[in-house]
Amino acid sequence: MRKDKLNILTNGIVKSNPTFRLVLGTCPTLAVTTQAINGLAMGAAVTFVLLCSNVMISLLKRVIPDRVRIPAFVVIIATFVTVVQMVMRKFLPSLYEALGVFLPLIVVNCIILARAEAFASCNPVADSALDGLGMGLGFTCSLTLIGIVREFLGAGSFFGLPIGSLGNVSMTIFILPAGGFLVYGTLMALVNFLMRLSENRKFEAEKKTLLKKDETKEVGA
Amino acid sequence: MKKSLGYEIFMTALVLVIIAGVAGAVLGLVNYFTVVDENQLFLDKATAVYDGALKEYKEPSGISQSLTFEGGDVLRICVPEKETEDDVYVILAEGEGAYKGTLQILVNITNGKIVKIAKYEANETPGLGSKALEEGYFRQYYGKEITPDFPGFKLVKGAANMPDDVKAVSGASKSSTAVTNAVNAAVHWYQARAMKGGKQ
Repeated sequence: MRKDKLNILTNGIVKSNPTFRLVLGTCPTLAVTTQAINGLAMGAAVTFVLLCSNVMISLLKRVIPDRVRIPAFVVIIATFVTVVQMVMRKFLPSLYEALGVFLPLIVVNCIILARAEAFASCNPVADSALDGLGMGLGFTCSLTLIGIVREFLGAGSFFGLPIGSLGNVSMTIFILPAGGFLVYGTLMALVNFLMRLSENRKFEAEKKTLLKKDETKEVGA
Repeated sequence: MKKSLGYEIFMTALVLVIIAGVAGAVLGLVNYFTVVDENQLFLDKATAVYDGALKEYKEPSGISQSLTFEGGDVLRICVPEKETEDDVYVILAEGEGAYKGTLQILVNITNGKIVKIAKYEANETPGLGSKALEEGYFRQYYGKEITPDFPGFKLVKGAANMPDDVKAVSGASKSSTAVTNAVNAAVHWYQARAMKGGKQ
């Protein structure tokens, strides 16, 4: 039982990571990750919205008529996005400015609508909350990772702190959209390579234990 | 059958209205706690170009036609609250042609010279377009005497030869253009108004 819950949480972070595995929400992914801090802030905003909207939609899944569920979902999501926007504007004005139009655009972020439609509308509240949290954390980690790589290569800094005089030899292309695609593609390939490697290893291990079982059976017989 | 159809329509509408109503109430409540005072925000940011209290500039009587500027706009003008010996104007100007649409800067024109420029609202690429919003670039506009026949700053790529030339930041020519447009809007406003209107 416990393991089930943990699986829901880690599912979003690793196995079906929204950015690298499901390739959802690529528009904000490429647009805001010019700096690591922007990626982190965007991820945090999306995580909050995902968690809240998943819980809300799961709670209301019996109340919302099936035919108008999409408008109802969008209203709920838009409400939480606007809350994030208002809070960020008041307390984190510099991040609010940096994220610009991509903050209100979370309303139509496909990760959130996909999780609402595919998971929250047919699962209990606690599971939906865990799924939202896991997916959000996966998105945050991916965006921060892309941001760190792009900022390091493109501006020679780490979370806004310059690393020595690396800024003088930085490759500006990495903070331009083209560099975003390059970093995103390379990281996606790397993540998928590592995933396949670990899957293969698991498979080999399973095969070995099966063979051993067979051997012991034969000896026993 | 008919009754159930009417019931269905009613319930669907009711649920949507209730959800929208609750959403509206939540947003209203959050807004109450997080409302940002635009005026205070402006005054806070204006301290970057002028150290002291500011008040809104009032048009001297006799001038009423509105001004338009090419590539830029003047959004707001302030003058020091207290009478000063210097002729100070703090102008919020907007420039077109930025990488992400428009950008806004604050320009302080004192005694017919630009003495300080600061970024107000801009969303240019960090490390690239943002270089055109730094003091090192703004410095090129400082100290130039704004005479009535001053045609405005001219942005050039490469070496700046003429006295009115401003050297664009390499890799940030769009942001440089927008800043120049905004500065020129402020300059032209100054030429059209402040010189004729004189000191208040």
